[in-house]
Amino acid sequence: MDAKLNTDVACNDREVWLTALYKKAFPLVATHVCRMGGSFDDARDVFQDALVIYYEKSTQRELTLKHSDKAYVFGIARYLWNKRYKESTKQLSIDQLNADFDEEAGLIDVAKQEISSSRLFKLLQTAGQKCMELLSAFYYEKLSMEKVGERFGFSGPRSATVQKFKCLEKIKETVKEKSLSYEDILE
Amino acid sequence: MKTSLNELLLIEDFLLTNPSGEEKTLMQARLLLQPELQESIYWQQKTYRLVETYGREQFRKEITEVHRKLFTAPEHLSFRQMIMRLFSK
Repeated sequence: MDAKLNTDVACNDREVWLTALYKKAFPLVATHVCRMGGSFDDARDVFQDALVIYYEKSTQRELTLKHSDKAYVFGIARYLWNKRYKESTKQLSIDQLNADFDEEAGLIDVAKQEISSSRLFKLLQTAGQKCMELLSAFYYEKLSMEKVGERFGFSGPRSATVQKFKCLEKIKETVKEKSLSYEDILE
Repeated sequence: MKTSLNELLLIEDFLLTNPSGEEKTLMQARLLLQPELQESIYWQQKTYRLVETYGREQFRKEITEVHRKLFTAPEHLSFRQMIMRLFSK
């Protein structure tokens, strides 16, 4: 079996892992999309969405990996291609596609609002960047507190846990204050 | 008013783990005694969504950078040519 995603990989390792998976799986997706009449850009778009979905499912432990990572990414990309370009003329968001994929695969559907364009999100990307990076390592990448501690230079998992909750408190307060003043969190 | 650590932990356990029936009942009882907790749950859930969106965007940036390297760096020329041949037919 191909090397599977180790969810505790460090940033540099993630680039190595991504590059290797890109080289293994993208030719399959490009061949399929090309045969179905799609362009290079179409292949790139569905492949990159498939990588995001595969990564998120892997970190959430929602996949029991019985096949190679290449096979999973290809399967997801093929599904996305069929959904996006054959069944629908409109562009669907990745959250919608992710939800549809979950429905098909019998996975849990967590509805999410598109919030990346909000003023609040932009503020958090700049003013709250350090905390967002730490929280993302734990809540998105699902790294252990040991790994979070190593990445951010804390003395140990206990110290990392304390900082994580301080950041959660700070960001939550910002979200509340700014949402009430901007009123655009869901714009 | 700032959220206490206990409240953050309580809400985190409720939102991010699968609470049992007993835990759900306990939370409903807490909400009756402490109605402002509902609002706190709402903001914490929003925070988690924003963090997930942030994480996803960072990951997308990494993917874009890997793509850029694969389709520009000299060491990946043969890979690039193999893909481009598919679309030149």
